[in-house]
Amino acid sequence: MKRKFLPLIFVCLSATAYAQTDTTKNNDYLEEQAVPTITLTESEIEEGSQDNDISTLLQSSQDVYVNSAGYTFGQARFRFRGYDNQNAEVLMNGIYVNDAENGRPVYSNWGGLNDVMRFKTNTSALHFSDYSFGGLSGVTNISTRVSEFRQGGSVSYANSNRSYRHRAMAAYSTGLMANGWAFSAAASTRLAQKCYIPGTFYEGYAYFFGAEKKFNDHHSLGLTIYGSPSRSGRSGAATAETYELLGTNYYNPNWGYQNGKVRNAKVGYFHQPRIILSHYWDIDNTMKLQTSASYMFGRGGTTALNWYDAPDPRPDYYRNFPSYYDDDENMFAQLTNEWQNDENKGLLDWDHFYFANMKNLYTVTNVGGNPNDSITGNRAKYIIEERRNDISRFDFSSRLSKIFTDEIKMVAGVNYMMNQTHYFKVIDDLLGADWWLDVDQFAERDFNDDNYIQSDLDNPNQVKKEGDLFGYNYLANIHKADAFAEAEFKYSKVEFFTALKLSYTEYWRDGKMRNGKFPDGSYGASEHQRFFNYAVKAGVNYKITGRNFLLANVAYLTRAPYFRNAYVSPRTRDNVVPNLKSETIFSGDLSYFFRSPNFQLKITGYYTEFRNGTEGTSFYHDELNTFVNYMMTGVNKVHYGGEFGTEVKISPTVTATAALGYGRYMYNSRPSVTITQDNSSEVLATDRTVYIKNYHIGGTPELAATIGVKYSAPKYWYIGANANYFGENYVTINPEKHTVEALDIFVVGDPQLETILGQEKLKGGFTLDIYGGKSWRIQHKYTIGFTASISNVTHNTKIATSGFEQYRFDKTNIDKFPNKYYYMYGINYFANLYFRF
Amino acid sequence: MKHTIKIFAVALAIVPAFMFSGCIQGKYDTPEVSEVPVGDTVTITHLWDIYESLTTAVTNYDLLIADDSELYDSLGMIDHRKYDSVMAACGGKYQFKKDHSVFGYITMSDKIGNIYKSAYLQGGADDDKAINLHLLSSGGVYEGDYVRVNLKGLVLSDYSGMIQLDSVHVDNNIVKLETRKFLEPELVDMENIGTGSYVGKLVKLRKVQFQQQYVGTTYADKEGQKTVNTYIEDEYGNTMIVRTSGYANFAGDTIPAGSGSLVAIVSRYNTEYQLFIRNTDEVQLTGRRFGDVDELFENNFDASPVGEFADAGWQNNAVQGSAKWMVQAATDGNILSVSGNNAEQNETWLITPEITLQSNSYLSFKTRMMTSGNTLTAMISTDGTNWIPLPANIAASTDWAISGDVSLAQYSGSIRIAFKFESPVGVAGKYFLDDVKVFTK
Repeated sequence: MKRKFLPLIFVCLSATAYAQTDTTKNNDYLEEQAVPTITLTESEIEEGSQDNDISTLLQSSQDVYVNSAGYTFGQARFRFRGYDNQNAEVLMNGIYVNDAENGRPVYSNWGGLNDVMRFKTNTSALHFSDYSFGGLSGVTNISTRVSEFRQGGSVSYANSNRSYRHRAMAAYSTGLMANGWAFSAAASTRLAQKCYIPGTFYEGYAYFFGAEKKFNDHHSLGLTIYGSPSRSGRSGAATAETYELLGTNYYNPNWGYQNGKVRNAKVGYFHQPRIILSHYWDIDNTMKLQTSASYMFGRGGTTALNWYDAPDPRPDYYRNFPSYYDDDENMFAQLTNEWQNDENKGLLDWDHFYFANMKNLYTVTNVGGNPNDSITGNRAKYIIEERRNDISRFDFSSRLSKIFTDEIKMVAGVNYMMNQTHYFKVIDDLLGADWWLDVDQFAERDFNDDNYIQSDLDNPNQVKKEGDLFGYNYLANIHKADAFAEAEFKYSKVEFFTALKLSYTEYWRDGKMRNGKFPDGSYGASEHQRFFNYAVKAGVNYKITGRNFLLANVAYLTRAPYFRNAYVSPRTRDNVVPNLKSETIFSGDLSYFFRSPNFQLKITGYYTEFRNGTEGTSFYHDELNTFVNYMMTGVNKVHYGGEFGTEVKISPTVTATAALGYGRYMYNSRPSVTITQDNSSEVLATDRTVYIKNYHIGGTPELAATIGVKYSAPKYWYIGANANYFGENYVTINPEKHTVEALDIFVVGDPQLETILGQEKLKGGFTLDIYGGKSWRIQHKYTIGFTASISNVTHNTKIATSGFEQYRFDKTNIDKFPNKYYYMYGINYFANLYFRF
Repeated sequence: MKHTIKIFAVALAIVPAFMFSGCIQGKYDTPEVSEVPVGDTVTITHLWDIYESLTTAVTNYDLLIADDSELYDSLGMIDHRKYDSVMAACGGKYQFKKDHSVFGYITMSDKIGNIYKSAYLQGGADDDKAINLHLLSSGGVYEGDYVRVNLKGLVLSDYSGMIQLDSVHVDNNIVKLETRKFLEPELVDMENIGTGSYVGKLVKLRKVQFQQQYVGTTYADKEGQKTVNTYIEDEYGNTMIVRTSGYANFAGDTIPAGSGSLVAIVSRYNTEYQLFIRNTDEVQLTGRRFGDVDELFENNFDASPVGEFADAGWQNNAVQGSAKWMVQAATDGNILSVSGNNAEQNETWLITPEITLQSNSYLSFKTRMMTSGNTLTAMISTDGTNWIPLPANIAASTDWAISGDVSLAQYSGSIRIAFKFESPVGVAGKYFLDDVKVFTK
């Protein structure tokens, strides 16, 4: 009886924590075991980068390098071989779950469901996978087949100062019961009123329900439902100047006090649950067919400040810094003093937003195009808007595997995806005003035309209240179908495989609002873009001896440009990037692998080339008051380097590990950039050559190393430590700076050229992590235990995990928009207490 | 059964997830918003009085203070006499230390970009003055706003000849009381703007046009975002600057050719007055340009061959004597000349072809007299028989003389013009004639 109450206790616990919360923050980095997770949202596009963007697939696998590296490199946002996350394929019961528009896995969709999402099969890099053709960095399949879940339950409580403060989880699985049914349920909550970075908060919940019925030895049917709603306050990147002024690398410009309470302007609120129906068919002992259909839907949104005809309210606006006044001593001194001594400097002034909004009397005439209709009230100068991306997505996957002989296995499958993402903005908070007038203030200043300024030409001069849709409204429709086949051959001296994939991608934009600036290109369905792609790969494992192996893999593929990169300004029109075409990728690696009971070692060299890529970045341009889009085509990149991993069992209780990844990730062509802005048909630049060949791609350390030792005591406890080094990380580039046009006022030999064109290398550094755990068995039935880890024990706060050149550039004042950085957390911990029954 | 209970318990734990939206983060309390204090009312006229005392401080402040010192005392303003030296040292600036309010109408904002971080405030009927507000940031007030401006902390000063209230914070200093209260522009003649009493005010000038050289150009350099000064003129030859920013949303619009009315704000830069257009709808220059003519008939004789003048339709009749009108080359093209003969009486008629008049037609030509003692008369006939002299100005010296625009308003239909040359015996008279035109305007 007692045990039945345990989950109920958890309910109370979660309710208490819940009551304390009103603000928290998301930094989904370093989950329990430093397994990197990732949240990619619209806001990332705006800012070029963000703090919850981290590394790619580095999860436990058979690979000794990946194993050793996976637990420690994540904190530095190390990306496997420097690849963009879109190269890491994630499947759930065979269903491809990466984002439809940019191809990146969205781990946060099942955040907090660790207990039920841990049945993973990982394949790293180009090796053979039982589940799909795979991505360049590998493929992970998460199985939610609950009949294979161990019978039993667990409750746990974790405390941390990372992404969240508190986490409580509960899960129970029946295992396969005599009646052929199996059930599993899990729930969790993750909360933080204040996370590592000031002004941030986190509030996440998660639920999972799985059921499976085994009809007979051949057929089972499974149902999975899960979701992970979360709300989190975001942090922003900072410049070197804020560090000089404030002495911290964790300055966050996104928050301020409202009525004395912390309020963050950038809040992500996501809830995109998924339902999967799976059919498991064991046709015979050698042949299996697994078929899944999935539907995913729900809201995605990130809030942001917007303002009309008012000065830029963001505290990190460049004119608010002393550096803007480097020729005015008084202002420089005054601002320096304010930043250092006025605790409200550098924060959002919420109270002022209300003050200004509640006295901004205004009359709108010609409301809705009706000349007799006018509205007088307090027009909002400042609002919080939410930029929504709501998903509705259907997936289908079917995979047949057949073992022909002990030596030969084949896998073949088909996948289909139909995704519709609805992009729009809503008024989240009017901040005391009566309404927001939906017109484009930049256009208003520039054009003497009442139609031109309308966001919605068919319903002009609309006043918008909280919850109203405004600004833009369109659908991203993506259909994708593919078929793949793989064959694996295993012989005593040599193993090899080959795989082929054919795919078809079709997408189009469907505008739901006729924009006054683009009356012809903004409304209705656009032309469909269609791509036919293929991919081949092959690998061989030559067994020199039973302990010495030589492995080689190659892949050659073409890849359709992602929707996100295809449209120059999808918020306002359906123009695609000029010369839109598929990217070509070649990748190969060669490894030597040694394995003995007490010693493992793997050395790998790899080389990958991307050709004719299309890359897009949008960011909010505060002077133009709109999104500006940089679309690069003809992007060639080359990634090459080496990996080393080893594991030595020094004694039955002591294991030492070491891992080193060192590569070069470079641009290998001079792409063309087209620069557009959302609120004007004027193209800022067309097909401008970007001179970035041999520049680093940046965004990840190119060098990462760790040495670790772990002691596992026979009496159910262990302790370990890792010393790590991260370096060779470069800022990502603003393509505009690297054009002839940007430099036309300089002469050869101008010392400023070096500053403009040089690519900043971020400061590397050492960190130390320690971890340990212990568990006890009670009555041979229950386990109680705890694990704890402390990362960056030496509190090294100087390591920038990423940095970027701001997308604004002023050639007459090259220091006006300095580089921005995200920093690795200082000392941080994660402690977890669990009870299993 | 025990499984079911456990599953149910976990499911219960899920409940908070569904209570999520709404009550957890909830709405933030609306902060208490403070009112902008009112204090005593000051008129824009008061501001002008102070301003004038600032700009003429050293010599004339006594006058002002003598008249208004009680008022200023009651408003709690500082006494100019006491602080005069301070004023001068501060370069003629006056900062308000207490809460006072000035009321007025926004007549121009920076929304359309012609002015930047700036607005014009004009008093109502009983406060017939206007002032420039220099804003700390652009935007936020609009034409037609009836506002109260709290003066505390603001600086009254002279900006290159223009009265301004400096450091106005749109949120902290301005309270909008009403919207769309558009002031009617005051009708004014261009020559009166120079009196200075219209500075900052919204005015309407009638019967003006842009000078010919600006017609067809743009108001400003939109591409290069540069400000451009253009000039308008009236019928009396007065001119005035129209200054337009390259950021104005009409900067790239073409300047109209016609004459008519124009609404603008009067500003001043040092000693020069300038006009700022608010929007091109208020530039109603659609009428005929002054100085503009429709030619009904014209001959400048440049195309006529040298020798005896014999253009088609013209008559060149030596009624007495032998003198004929001759075509002769001159530096600016051909002209006509007629020379009397010493030995004879000369009467020579030069008659134009038939010309069809319109209402309000004029005649003009130019003449030059080489020898005195003879006469040239311009005449008109509606039937070719009866000739009536016209009151044209005929040269009386060797300098070219313009006939003036000779009104033919009392005539209509087809007419001919004649130039009758008479030279008595003993006089070798000589006239030149050129540029004969009949036109309407």
